[in-house]
Amino acid sequence: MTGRATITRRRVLGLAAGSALLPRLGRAESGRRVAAIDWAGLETALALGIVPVAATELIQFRKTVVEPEVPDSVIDLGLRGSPNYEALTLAEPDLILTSNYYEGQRASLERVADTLSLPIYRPGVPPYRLAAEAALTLGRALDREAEARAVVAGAGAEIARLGESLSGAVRRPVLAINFGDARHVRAFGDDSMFGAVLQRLGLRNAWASQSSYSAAAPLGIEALARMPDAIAIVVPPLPSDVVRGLDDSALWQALPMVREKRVSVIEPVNHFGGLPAALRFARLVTAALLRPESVRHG
Amino acid sequence: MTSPDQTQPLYDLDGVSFSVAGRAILSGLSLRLDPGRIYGLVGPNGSGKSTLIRLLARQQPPSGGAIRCLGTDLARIGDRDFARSVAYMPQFTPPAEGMTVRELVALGRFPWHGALGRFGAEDAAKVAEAIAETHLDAFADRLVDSLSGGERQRVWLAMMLAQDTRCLLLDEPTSALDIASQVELLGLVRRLSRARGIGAVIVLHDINMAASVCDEILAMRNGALIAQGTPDAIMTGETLGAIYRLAMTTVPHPVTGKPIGCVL
Amino acid sequence: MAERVGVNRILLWSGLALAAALLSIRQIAGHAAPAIPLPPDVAALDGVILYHSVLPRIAVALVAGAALGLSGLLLQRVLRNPLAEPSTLGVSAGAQLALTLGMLYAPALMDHAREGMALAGGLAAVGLILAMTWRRGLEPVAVVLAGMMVALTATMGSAALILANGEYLFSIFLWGGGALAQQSWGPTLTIALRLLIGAGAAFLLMRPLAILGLDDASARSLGVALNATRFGVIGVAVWLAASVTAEVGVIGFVGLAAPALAHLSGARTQGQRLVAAPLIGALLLWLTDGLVQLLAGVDGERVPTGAATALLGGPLLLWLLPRLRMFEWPSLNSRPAPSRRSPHPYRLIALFAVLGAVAVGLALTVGTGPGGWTLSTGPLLDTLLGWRGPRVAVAAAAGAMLAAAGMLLQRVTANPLASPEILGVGTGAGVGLTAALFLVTAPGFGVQLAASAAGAVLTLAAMLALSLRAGFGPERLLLAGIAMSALCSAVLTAVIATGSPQAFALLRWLSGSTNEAGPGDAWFCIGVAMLLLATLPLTAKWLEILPLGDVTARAVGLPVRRCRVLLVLLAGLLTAAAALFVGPLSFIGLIAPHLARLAGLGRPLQQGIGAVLIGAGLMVVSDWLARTVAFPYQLPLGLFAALLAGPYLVWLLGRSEARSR
Repeated sequence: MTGRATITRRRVLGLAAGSALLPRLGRAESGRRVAAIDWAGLETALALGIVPVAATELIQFRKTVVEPEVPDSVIDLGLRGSPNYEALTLAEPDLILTSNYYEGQRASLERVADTLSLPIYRPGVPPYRLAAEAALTLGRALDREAEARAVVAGAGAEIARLGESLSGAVRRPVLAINFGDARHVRAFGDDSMFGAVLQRLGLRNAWASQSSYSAAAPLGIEALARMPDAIAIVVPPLPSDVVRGLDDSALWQALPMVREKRVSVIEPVNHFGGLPAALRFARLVTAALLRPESVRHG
Repeated sequence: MTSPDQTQPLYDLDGVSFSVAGRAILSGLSLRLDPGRIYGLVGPNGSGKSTLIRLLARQQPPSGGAIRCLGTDLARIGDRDFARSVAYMPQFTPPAEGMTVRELVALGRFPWHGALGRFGAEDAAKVAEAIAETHLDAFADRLVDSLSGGERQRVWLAMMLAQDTRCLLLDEPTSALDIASQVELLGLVRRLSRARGIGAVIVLHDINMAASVCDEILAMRNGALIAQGTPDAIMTGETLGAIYRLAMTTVPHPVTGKPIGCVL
Repeated sequence: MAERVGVNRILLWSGLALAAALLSIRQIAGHAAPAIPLPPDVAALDGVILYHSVLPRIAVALVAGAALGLSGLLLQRVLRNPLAEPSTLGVSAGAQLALTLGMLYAPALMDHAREGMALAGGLAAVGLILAMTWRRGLEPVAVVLAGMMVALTATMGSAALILANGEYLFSIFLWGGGALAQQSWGPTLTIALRLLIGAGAAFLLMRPLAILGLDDASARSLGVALNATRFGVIGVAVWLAASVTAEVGVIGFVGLAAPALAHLSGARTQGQRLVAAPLIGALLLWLTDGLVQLLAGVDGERVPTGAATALLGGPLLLWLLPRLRMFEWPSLNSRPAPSRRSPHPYRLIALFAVLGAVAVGLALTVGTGPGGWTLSTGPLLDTLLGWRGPRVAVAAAAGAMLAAAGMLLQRVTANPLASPEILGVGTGAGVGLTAALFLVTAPGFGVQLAASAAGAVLTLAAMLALSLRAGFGPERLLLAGIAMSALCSAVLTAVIATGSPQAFALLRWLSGSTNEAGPGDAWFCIGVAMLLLATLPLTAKWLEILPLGDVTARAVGLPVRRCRVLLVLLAGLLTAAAALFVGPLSFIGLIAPHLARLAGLGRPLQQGIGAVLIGAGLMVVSDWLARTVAFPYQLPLGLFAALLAGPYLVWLLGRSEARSR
């Protein structure tokens, strides 16, 4: 076990210096030891230029969130819902980023280090503002307030710029969906990050009703017929059997948005991310909408 | 064979009735059973004899009327007190999964020591005695389920003996047994009843078996008692005919000369 | 009276069919006659929706329900087992596992051989169960035990695969839950074709099937090619169920409920049942799907239809079960063969204690880290013990409590298959927990415990109230228990589908994990376990007498009702306390008492102590495996509990049979 020597040494050091001293030591240098349970926290920390020592579900993160890139030095802590506390302890963080969805873990996390909960998704509250607040809160906690302000301002400015580039080009309402299987989608409403970004881009979300936090209730794809003039943005993952199923589906083929080739599949992006995910989604959507002829699916 | 209760009737039934879903199974039954005697309960299927013995065993409360056991109303006797006075063997004994003979017989001591009491020397002695009296010593540590039908019935009889009661209630104890086992079991009941001075009520299908074992026969039909008396009094063609609604007569037993019922 | 009951039943079914038809008409009318005039291309689209979505959905509900009803009937008939159905025999779970494997590792294959994969999975599950129980002559109790074990293991396996690949459990609940939305006639036609072939085969095999309902010896003496017929029928039944799973997902309960309801509705002959069971299955699924669509808001359906079948069929079955007197199946009363009794029970108990201690030592010191397996010592061990200690303590205490609860229930009900898991007590605790999570803001630990205990005790009391009715045999109790579990699980699934933070907490609880256990939890769990287990010796006499039945218990002076109430309360508390920490799906409560008994511990107290030690040990080892096998990803605890104990249990069942012959 490679970490063993350092661990014992650090522990001894910690005991000698007293626990109150360590954070101050950390703040003086760039190597503040942060661990992220929540993916939005991981994204946001990376955006502020902090490389966490450990984070959860990295295999999946690299596959479905893509950016920001996670360096190989970050230790994988396993599932978000059930993080590996032994691995977390051995990573020796002094701050753990979590969110309101992991409230049940707080007691265990606090046994390892201080926790910082960054809630972004609350039923009925627009998540973009909370994501910006989360970035600023994290900046204050990590002594990177300037970087945080820059990230928030930069994201706002870029989304505004992307919105301008779209103005006039897109008059139709836009619908962000994710396929569960060939027969079901979930639609992202105004209380989702994607809905919020569509709004900031000056687009009309075709899915008007609330979607509940996870937008979990599956809609049959026949529900898409209720939005005949919408443009659909398909957010991955998009399993291959879904693609095959859609090819065979008479109903799918009959949908106006499919017939008139108003469906685009974008690259993967975190469904429940922070500011970086919002920005990535804005870029991907803008690119998709400005593409001369939208392809049916990837 | 005298005890202070000898003057009290073992059972005293006064206008007892029992009905299920509006259908009368027993109606207005009055009856007195004396201690120390063996009663045979006979009658055709559906005559109510099994119901009667279940009422006597307090497995079900009567719908009407009163049953007194040794002078006290059945409903007012405590569970364990009653089980110290009356032991009951149902028609179908349950499988005693994974239990040895000795363990099953020892359950007969429950009314004496209860859930938390110690299983004392007296309990052990009573169990040993019951096992010896039913000739089960060789099987004492065998699993009950591994025994033959006749042996199993003897185990249940031993459990009733260990219960050390004043009365045994047996519901068709011989129905699943071959003739040799039937004779053996009923002989055992009769011997033990005499030796211990305890009474017994036995539901039997075979009228001749009942006549040879019992002191008194109670004959039932359609939920009522239609004849009561010693075997000699009951074993006449006329009475048997009335019980079973068949043309019947009796012939003398070739050895004992006692009457044997047969269908004409 | 019998005639009136018959008329009532016909009225009941006609009423239900009418309701289903009205729901369908409502669906059709919504698209055929729009309230407001629409532009022509939208109106045309409405036609497309009607033809390619609404109508096929009705059709697929009918054919899938019928296929499952037929499949269940065939399996129940050929195995002479009233509890056999695609889900209890692991067909659906096996098919789902195969589909998950395919999706993850052979996506190209899935494009073309979806049904083949599902069929292979279903056949493998049934084959495994038959192989395990062959020596016991496919005895119903053994088959159901093996079936539940295989089904649970396959379900947990699918979940573990998805978890270890970093997907969220959500998707299993949402998309694997048997949703009937359709976009073409393909699935309907596929299932309908299988149904036609299956029904044809069933009618051709009607006579051999009737004879197969007798025992083997009679069947053989009547000249039936026993095994060939049997395998043929099983193959047809599995094909039907697997194709339904492949086309629309797992739909629980219809295969169990339809034949039972057909029987309860008075279909007596083979031919009547072959007609009635598929019809009732079709009606059940049709009606359920109609209700699911009726209750769906604009933002989608709240419950997958496959789970909702239990919400409808469960209460229906619970209501009908006590209402019929003539409802006796052969042979479920046949008990496991008499087991061997150990001449030295306390040596055996000491051995289990030593093995348990070894398991604890292993779980505390051995683990995996980034560098692979490690044996931790010194200061590192001190650090890790802070996490491992509470986990091991909670797992051991929970395993001990579940084992004790299982032993209590098996003895109180005189039913070898009774256990907290099978009687729905664990999921009942979950419903209580759900109520606490939603009714109380931030419920404390005490509130959670009280609520889940209330849920568990209420469920158990309902089960016992049912079982106390006259003539309520062991098979009826199990049916009622399965109905109750299915009902409670459906409630949980519906709640989880809301996607709220409470749902997230519930989902984590359901998958069963000791990960969050802290020192406080550990002491609490141990304390509760000690307190409750300390009462076990006081109940030993009752537990010895109660399996002999009420009549004998009353005859020796046991206050039967009071004993039952107390023991049920105790079992409910034990289950609730354990389930709060390790979730409802462990099967330790079923397995541990059997293992103790089969090892040779027969008397209640010895069996109890043995079961408690085995339960604790198994749970500790399962927890250790869940923690280490896919490090740092943690897998469901129940997966390993089932994997560890299931095969051993089945082997022991087979061995004791072989010995006694």
